[in-house]
Amino acid sequence: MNFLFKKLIRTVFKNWTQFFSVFLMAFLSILFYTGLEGTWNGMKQNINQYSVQTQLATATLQSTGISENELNQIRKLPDVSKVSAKTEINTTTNLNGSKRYLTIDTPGTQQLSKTMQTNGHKIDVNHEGIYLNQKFANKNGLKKGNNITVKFNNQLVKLKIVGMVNSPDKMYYTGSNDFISPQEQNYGYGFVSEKTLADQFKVPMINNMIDLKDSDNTKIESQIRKIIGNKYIALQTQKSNIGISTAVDRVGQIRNLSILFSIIFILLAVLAMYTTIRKIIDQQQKDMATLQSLGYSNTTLSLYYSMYGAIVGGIGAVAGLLVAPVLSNFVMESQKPMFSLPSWQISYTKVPLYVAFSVILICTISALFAAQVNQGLTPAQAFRKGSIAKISKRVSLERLPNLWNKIPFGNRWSIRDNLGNKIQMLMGLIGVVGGLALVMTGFGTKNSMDNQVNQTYGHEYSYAKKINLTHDASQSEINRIVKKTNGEKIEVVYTSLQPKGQFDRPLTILDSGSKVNVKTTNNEKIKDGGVYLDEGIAKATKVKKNSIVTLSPSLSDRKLNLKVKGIIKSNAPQGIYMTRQTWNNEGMKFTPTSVLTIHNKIDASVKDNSAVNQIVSLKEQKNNAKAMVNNLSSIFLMVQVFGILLTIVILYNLGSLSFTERSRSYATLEILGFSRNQIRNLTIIENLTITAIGWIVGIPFGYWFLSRYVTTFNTSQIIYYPFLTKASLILSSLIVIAASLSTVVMIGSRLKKLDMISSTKGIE
Amino acid sequence: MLSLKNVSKIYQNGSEVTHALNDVSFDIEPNKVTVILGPSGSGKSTTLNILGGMDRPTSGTVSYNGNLINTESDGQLTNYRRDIVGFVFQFYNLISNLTVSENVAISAQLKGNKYQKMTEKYLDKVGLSKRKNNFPDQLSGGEMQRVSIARALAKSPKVLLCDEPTGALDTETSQRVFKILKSSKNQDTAVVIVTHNPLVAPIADRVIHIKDGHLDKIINNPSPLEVEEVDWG
Repeated sequence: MNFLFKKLIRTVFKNWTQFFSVFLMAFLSILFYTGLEGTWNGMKQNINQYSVQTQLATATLQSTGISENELNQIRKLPDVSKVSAKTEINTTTNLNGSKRYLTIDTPGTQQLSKTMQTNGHKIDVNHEGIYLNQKFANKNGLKKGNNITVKFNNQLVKLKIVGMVNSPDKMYYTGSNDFISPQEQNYGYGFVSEKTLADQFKVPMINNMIDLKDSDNTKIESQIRKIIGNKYIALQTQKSNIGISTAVDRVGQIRNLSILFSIIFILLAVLAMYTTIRKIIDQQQKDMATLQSLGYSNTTLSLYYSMYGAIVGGIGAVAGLLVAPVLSNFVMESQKPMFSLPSWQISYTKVPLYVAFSVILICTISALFAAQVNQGLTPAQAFRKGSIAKISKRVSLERLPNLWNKIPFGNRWSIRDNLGNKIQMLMGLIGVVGGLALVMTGFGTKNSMDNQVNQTYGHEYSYAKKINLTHDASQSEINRIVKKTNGEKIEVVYTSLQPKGQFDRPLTILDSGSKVNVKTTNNEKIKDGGVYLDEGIAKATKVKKNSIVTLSPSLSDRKLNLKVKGIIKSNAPQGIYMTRQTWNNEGMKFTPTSVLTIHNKIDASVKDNSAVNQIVSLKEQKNNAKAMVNNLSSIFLMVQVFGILLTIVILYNLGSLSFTERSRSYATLEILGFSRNQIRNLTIIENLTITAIGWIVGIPFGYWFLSRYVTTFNTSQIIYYPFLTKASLILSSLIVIAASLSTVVMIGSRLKKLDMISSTKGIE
Repeated sequence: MLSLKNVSKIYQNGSEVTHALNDVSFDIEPNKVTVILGPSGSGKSTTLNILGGMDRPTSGTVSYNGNLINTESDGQLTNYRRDIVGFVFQFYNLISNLTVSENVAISAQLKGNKYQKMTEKYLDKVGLSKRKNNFPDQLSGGEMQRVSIARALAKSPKVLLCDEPTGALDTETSQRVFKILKSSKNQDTAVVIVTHNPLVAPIADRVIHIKDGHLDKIINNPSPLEVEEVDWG
């Protein structure tokens, strides 16, 4: 075996271009899996550690404020083991000439969702001054020891910044339901002691935010409603609180990505290995026969060829493991701006080792299968097999003589050669189809997300400004604002949804107007007489059109039984809709929470109106949503790059394999008087044909793959629909065609170096 | 017609220098069969490759009808191989995925539009019209070599270069091949056969002996034998 091993090493080096694709596929499969595992597992560990360390609450009850008696009743609920009551107020501050929004909480008991200082120290619950969240402070140039003046209820309160903190329930902090990605400069949070709240803000403890540790979210929701009645606003669970769920979902998204892509590359490694070994065996037929005649058994030779899989696959897998931390850190760095975690460490499990071992084993088995072609042959038969001409067959196209006879002889040869090498042709098609699917997915995922942004902010919501009202805004003030802005009123409340509602969802009640332009899957507008659910909620709760659902809206102790009139096709935010008329018919009072206007310029009298809590522009919302898409750009780019790489490598490898096999024929044609251009044209036509077939198959496959892939980014709040622009489709096609044709360059340069004399010499 | 003057060919592999041909000069005449005879490694195949425009000499000149071909570009050499030369290989080098007639037609087509007629003519000449729809792997060695000859002749070459054309064939088949080759000489075409087999010499009009890269001797044979008249041993 010692000499066979030397032969193996020399063969690999001599034919390195043919083995490169196997190496690359093994390398990429391990790199993808391990690299992304480093990120997702690292994030998962960091999130888990953070959650455990801070005793992250399993749910947070939002209410208008509850009494000590009600709090005690909640404490005594059988499914509740811990309770930490807080009081939360919304303040504003003016920094660098701009209005900022600062949510201030009391620290609670610090037994649940404990606030940690960024230096790792606990906070002092009786402190003077304010603990400020780090990203808000950094973005606004605030430091420990600085003062900040906040405005609440028309009073200004000056507070000293005593430390920087992160809160575990705000790992992903947008600051407002109007935004889907963090706005760290505009939205912040802080903590003041109960004493500071009472003395400086003149607010007593009203317990409007209650952190809970419970064993079953679904049970306690109804139990709490019974206790606090119409003071109930919402129960945010870890799954519905986007401050937590977005971070957890991101772990799952990256994990899905790692599995999906590593499987693709493993499959390609199998095909590449099988094809390469078959070609190598064909080329080394005489060597095999000689070794057999020397006394090497077929089993030994099969094992010898399987070693190619083990060694090349092994080198690829080891290289993938070694380079993986680079990818892990690259992807992790791209996630840091979006999330607030106390530590960012990449972390690996043992699974990549098992995956690497599997890749090596799969490559070895593929090579072993490929090596079976000589099993059962005597040395004489093996020698003869190496000498006889390659067996040729007619192709189905020849049954159409009118067409076939018009095809030039060179192309006839190439067609028969391709159809006679079905696995090789399949590999070529897989290279084009797979490459196209990946490039389309790379572009399409961004298109789908951009489309979500454009659809949501521009089509589904077509206002220019959204004027959010305070909860105690009077009807006359609201009417004044509506008149002044020519606005349109909506009310958004939280509601539970039965059956199987899982957690509270936003319910939007629409007054007349068209600034909320969501439509059903049948392209119908929202009408009176029923409730409408977004598709994501309908799927999650298994509710269909015409089902009866029960809504329990916040700030009410009523239960509404309503028929589902339609399913809304909308990206975000996933919610429930009905008209004001339907709401009123159910005996509910319409209390607007926002006024939507198409006017960009808002009159000062509206801006300064005490009924106005905040004014949000659609443009801001859109830019904010785009920021989240851009955060994933590195992942899209990575998918595109690997798609291009896949096409080039697979087709280059095939071109290289078939060139070696055909060099004798090419040389013969050259001696007969064919010019290099004529021979190269044969390969161009052949390449174009495979690319064209691959393109025809690849477009629907790529779209299907994209539609599957974008769902991995779905969250409980956002649903993505596959969308690919014409420009992306054309660009994807051009990239893949160019990548495919780039192999012609390789063939051209090898044709130049083709030695006619040695290529046409006898096999022996 | 085709003339080699003071042709030398040196192969260099690192520090190792091999003189494959040394100062070789001779002419190839039309309408004649020329046999280049020599043992293995004597330089006869190198000579054939230079004659066929497949290789260039290190020094000396190769000319066809007075035109130097050793200084021509790759493109001009391609034209030379296409228009002037026909090759017959020891191991046939048929294109496996083309049928017998397609293998011949692909060559005939290079010279013009009458390729179908030419294909039929030369397949008939080599006696393989009935096998025209077969693939090479369905033929015997002798049949493959006859296809190879038909392919070379279908271009109506001025020089037919044959490299050990019967090297892989039995005696009876070899005789059949030589008969075809001998009958291929005409007013325009010169047939050049490279071989190590001295039994072929009597059928040639001219025999060029090459030994260790040198021209050993040239023997003109005014009365060449017919193939059937040769004692093939």
